[in-house]
Amino acid sequence: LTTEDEDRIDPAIVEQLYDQHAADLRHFLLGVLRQPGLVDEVLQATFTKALEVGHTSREVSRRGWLFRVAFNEAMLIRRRAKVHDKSIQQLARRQSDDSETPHDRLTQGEVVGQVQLALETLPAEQQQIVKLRIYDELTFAAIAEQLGLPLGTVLTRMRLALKKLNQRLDRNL
Amino acid sequence: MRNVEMDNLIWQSFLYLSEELSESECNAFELQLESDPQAQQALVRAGQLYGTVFEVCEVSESQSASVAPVSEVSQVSTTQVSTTSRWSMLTVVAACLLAMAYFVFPGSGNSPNVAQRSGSSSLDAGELVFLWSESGTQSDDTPALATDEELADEELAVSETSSKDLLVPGWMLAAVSPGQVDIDSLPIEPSPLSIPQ
Repeated sequence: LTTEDEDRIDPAIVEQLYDQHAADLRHFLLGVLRQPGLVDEVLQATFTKALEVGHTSREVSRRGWLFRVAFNEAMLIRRRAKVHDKSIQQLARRQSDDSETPHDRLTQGEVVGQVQLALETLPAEQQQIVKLRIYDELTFAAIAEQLGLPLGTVLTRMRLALKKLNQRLDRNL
Repeated sequence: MRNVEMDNLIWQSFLYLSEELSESECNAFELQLESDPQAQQALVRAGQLYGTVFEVCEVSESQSASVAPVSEVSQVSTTQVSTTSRWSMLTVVAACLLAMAYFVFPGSGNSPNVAQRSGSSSLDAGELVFLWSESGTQSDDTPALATDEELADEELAVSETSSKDLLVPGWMLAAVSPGQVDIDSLPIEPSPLSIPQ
């Protein structure tokens, strides 16, 4: 995996990875972040990470690895914003985001609204698990322990919820 | 069938992004991601779902945080109500005390003459009527409320009647006379009354 330094990946390989996957990663990050202004920032952080720890990934599955790193970086930024004054930061970001057109904002608002509706129509026990897993970042094992439920039940509820949410998202895309 | 397959892939992608897959499952899925466009699409969708749900939760949280908790609101209103009612109660108590003081210590009232005189039980009807008319005259000493014309009329009326006599209707005398009086037998027209000196 490494050429010059055993602990470091060759920057040329990282450059190649960028050429191959940057466009898909942008698309992916836009979905995760929902704020175009942050996409480049997260993309840069992802490839910086690739330079630093890319050697730990397997060459045969680097695409998946990059996507997961990008996802983690994106969620890190979102969670950091959550810790600070969320609404103010979000508003400031949205206002300063020149790349986002009013149509984009409207579409994103609609998507969020539809997903919110779908979330509200889920059974309470499914809503609870969705929130605990995605927003509160608890693992399924921790959720099962906290709620006193078998892990299988928690996974089934999450899966059903995700399916319904995906169906609702499908109608809006 | 295709939807079921996609749902499975989205679920797999979700678990992969959430780092909930075992190492072997993770490796297998990463390999699939290298070549399977559907898996790649599912990964994008899973990321989108994750981000959107996160945003929905974030919005709900900030909305609920921006609204003051019901308990706080009710506490504030309860405090306001209790303060208001406390002041009302104090006002009522003060009014009662003043009224009691007025009756217990009649000399401290606004019309000392009337109070002192009405305190006597041996008043006759004529004296009481005089006191009424006197207090009425006193209360009419308010130039702001009476126009010049009204004052002139009043002076004329006073001059027309005799200086010491007042015209008092019978029903008024009956109202202040002790004992049973047949009101029907009393004259409707005012009768002259001599005012005690």
